[in-house]
Amino acid sequence: MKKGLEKADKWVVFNVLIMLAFLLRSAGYFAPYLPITVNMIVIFALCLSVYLLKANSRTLLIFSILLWLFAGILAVLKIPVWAERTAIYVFESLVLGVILLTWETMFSKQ
Amino acid sequence: MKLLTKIILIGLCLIPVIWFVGKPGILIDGSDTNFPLDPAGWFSRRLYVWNTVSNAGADFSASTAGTVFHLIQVLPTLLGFSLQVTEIISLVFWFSAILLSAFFLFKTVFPDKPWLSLLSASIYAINPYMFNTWENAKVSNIALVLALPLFVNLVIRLNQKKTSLGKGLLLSVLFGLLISGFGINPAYFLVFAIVFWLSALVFYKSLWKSVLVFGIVLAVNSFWILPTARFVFGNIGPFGGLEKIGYTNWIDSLSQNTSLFNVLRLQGAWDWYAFDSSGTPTYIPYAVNYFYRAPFIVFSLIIPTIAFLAFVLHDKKHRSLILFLGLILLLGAFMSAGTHPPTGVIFKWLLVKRLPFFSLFRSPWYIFTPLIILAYSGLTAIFLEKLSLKKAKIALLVSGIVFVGNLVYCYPLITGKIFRPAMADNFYIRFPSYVFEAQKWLKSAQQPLPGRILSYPPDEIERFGWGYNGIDSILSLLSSVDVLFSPLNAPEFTTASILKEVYHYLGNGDVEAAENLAGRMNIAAIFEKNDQNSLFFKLPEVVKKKKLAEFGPWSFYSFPIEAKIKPRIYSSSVTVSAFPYVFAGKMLPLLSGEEILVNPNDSIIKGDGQIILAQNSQVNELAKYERIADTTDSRIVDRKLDEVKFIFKIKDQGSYQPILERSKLDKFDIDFNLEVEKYTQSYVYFKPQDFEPGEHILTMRIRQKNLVDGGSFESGEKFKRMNDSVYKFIYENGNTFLEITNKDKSAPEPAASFMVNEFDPALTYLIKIKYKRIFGNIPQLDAIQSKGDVTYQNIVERFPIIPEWQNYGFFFKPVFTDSILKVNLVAPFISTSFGTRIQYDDLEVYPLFDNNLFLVKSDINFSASPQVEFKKISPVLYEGSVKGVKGNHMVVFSENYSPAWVWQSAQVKNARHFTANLYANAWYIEGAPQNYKFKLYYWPQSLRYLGLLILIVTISSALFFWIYEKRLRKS
Repeated sequence: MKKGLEKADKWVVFNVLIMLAFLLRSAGYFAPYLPITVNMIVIFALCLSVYLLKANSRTLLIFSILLWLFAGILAVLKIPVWAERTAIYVFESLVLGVILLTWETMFSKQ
Repeated sequence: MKLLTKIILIGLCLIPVIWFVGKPGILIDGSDTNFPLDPAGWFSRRLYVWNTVSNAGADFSASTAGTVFHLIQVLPTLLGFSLQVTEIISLVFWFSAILLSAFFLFKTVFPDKPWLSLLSASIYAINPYMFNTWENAKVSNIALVLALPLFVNLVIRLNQKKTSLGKGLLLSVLFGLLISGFGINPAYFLVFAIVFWLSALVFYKSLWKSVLVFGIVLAVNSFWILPTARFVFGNIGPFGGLEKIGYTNWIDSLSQNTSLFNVLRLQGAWDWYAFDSSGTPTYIPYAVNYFYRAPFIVFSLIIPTIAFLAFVLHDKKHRSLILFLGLILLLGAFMSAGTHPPTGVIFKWLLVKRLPFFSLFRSPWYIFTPLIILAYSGLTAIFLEKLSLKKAKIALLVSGIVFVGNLVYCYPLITGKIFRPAMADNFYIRFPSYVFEAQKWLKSAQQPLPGRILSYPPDEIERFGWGYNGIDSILSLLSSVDVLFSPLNAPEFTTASILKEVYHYLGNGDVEAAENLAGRMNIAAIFEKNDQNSLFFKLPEVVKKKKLAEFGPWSFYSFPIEAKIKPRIYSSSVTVSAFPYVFAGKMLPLLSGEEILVNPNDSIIKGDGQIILAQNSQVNELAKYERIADTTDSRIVDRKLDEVKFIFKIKDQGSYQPILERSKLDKFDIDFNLEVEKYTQSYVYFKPQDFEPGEHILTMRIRQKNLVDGGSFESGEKFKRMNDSVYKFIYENGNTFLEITNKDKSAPEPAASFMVNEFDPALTYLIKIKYKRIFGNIPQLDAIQSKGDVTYQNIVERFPIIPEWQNYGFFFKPVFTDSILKVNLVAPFISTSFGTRIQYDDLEVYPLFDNNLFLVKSDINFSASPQVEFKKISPVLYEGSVKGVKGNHMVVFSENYSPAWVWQSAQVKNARHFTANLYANAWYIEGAPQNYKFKLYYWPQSLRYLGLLILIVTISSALFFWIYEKRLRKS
């Protein structure tokens, strides 16, 4: 029960932080020196998921496959701009996934 | 299963044969695909690091890497096979090599599942990336795609101890030679090195063996690595582009469509995305299928999806391989995207601007995508293997569907559609018989020709009526004669600028200047191609006096006259400085005898004489206009071209002879203000004058004649009405003008159309008009250059809306081709009840006087030059002797200047190297005996010889080690 609550807390913190990032973006914080783009928020969310939610390489790689399939649907529906944008998120989650995979392979107790 | 796999594998290896089915006698050639019609000649050219064949010579270090590739073409030729069979053998060889190398890599990883190896090999060798590789038979791409599986396999096998070290090293020698072609673009070698070391680190158990293998690869490739490294480090700055070795840096344009989505689907080739205004693909007709057809879009996602699934579902024994493939996938995708956002920002900031020599990677997608295809093929196999452990039948079914689907998906590669057979500029070429007749003649005539051949007409891309397109001269394809042509890849080279002048003089009919210049370029003949689609003027008849040979529409003429041809090596005792040196190409034709032109800032040699190019005020006015061409300010100026001022600076007091270019002089009624000494075909020589140091202005009056009849409208209607409308002549205050009212007419819009008399496309024109817009649409003037139904240029000038009379004038630069010029004064359509009413007056068209005036310091005393005899031993070595030396002198070598050309003489040590005649090598010789011998040597060839020595030593060492290892095992 306590563990579940702790996990739920982390999810709340995760969502609050993401919402905060979007709020800052809509308010134009740090622009023009460091504009908060959706891309940046996605990278932030991916890193946060690893740190806060303990997402492993498998989670991130599955996430990238789902995004890839979504990008494919967008391409079939002839919305190439969105497909290209989604592919960027695929790449970002792939990068993080492979980095984690490398880490897990090199330092895993197994 | 194994037999079936073998049969399918052999079938796939023979795919290039399908490309030629039903096409007897046809070759795949043209554009970037350079299949030689003289394979032996091409091979032998690659034995030297200096290529004399094209445009007065260039360093050829990188191209020597193609030695092995072209050897594969030479062998069938020597065995007597036809060119088509030779090409098929060559293509099948390299296609099979790639397919088999990938097959054996996956056989190492999945030894008991040959069907999986077959599938992965087919994904690796047959995919959209390979379309472009085979379309252009890109040697570097082929070598890289071949190298990756070959060496990753070797590293894995050494790691797993499946291959002994001795055998591994011997294989490294063989593989190293096979992949040597990537030296043509050194960036490919660097990609190979990155992947090799990544695999060596991941499979770290054999790290020291990998070091040895890489050392062997370097050693066997040192025959091109050593000279190329010297050239790259000596000629390209760490942050410079490839311009210096003849390429244009175009990384941004190539990265326009390399989004991660396209890159991950292997669809980043720039030419797929070129469409004309009607939406038809410009280059790749099949690209539309991949963009718009759902089955193609879906299949483009399937292989990446299966590959990504491998990260999640794989056998743990493949963890290292997964890591390796994952890393090269990410690296490949990031790098292939190039400067495309969002990753392009990092690519540009970190790599292009901060990593030395990174600008060598000028085509990121083409260079790095092999990493992605290797990753996809390996990951796909890993996933399907895992699937087969759980659901064997489903895995087999999926593999079959992917295998067949991939063959269908890649139909352009299977069927030969990559060569665009339905397009006018396709790659299937049937060379006419006269091409081979000319080849025979060239091979026999090579010795008697005392110099180079100039190709004409000078289009940068040769487009022949029978289909062949090439960016080099076709003569280079079929023989080893030295040829000069308009280069597409190196427009900034000085030779290109001199050639531009030669072609300009020839097009203008200034044969004297063309001959003088051609002589200094060691040109001995002109090659006229009447089957080439060109807008350029036909070769002047006066050039065609002495025909050497004729083959169908091809003719070879002796040009210039023999007396004007300067030998490849000659001596001189007199130098002339060119002011300003940047225009030295225009001054070269004015040299007489043995004079050579030098840079006034040269530290080694000072000019005895001087040639000064005066500034032409009318040319200056045009330049000023062009700088602000888009503003109204440049056009509402009332310009006059009734005088030309020549402005020049004299440094040294003395007698100078003014010489004016005679070209088109008959078009102008001009007062020279100078006493004419003589007229020649291309120049007017005035009597020499004494000048004091300082700036001088020489003014010549020009009585200009309006080239348009009836432009003032005083003598009635002398124009053609373009559409029925109200054309009214109005007489006001002693002046008549034209008023056009257009109520509802369009297509064509009502206009007064005037023909420009005595139009000459070699000249620039000033077009002037006065206008007043009463109401309606914007006043407009159309300048239309055309011939028959073909319009070469249609300039539409829309005037500022002014309710008063306003002057308007602009310069018109015609396309240099036989044509006429019309000027239309338009009353454009407007959809209002009143329409448009515009008044026009005083239409005037005048040619711009852009002839150059030179001042030649004529009081030079010089002694006769010594005699030079020489023999060309090879493209990198000339031997000669100089006789009758009477003092200090120069030896000129008319090959493109390179500091790597060295003077060797036992008798003359004091020879200083400098640039002569803008492009050539020359040595200033002091203290020489009356007669002496010398050698001119391109020293980087020694690096080539050193590399070959290292190659031989490496082969021998590897062979001995292998034999020793074998004996050791036996004992």
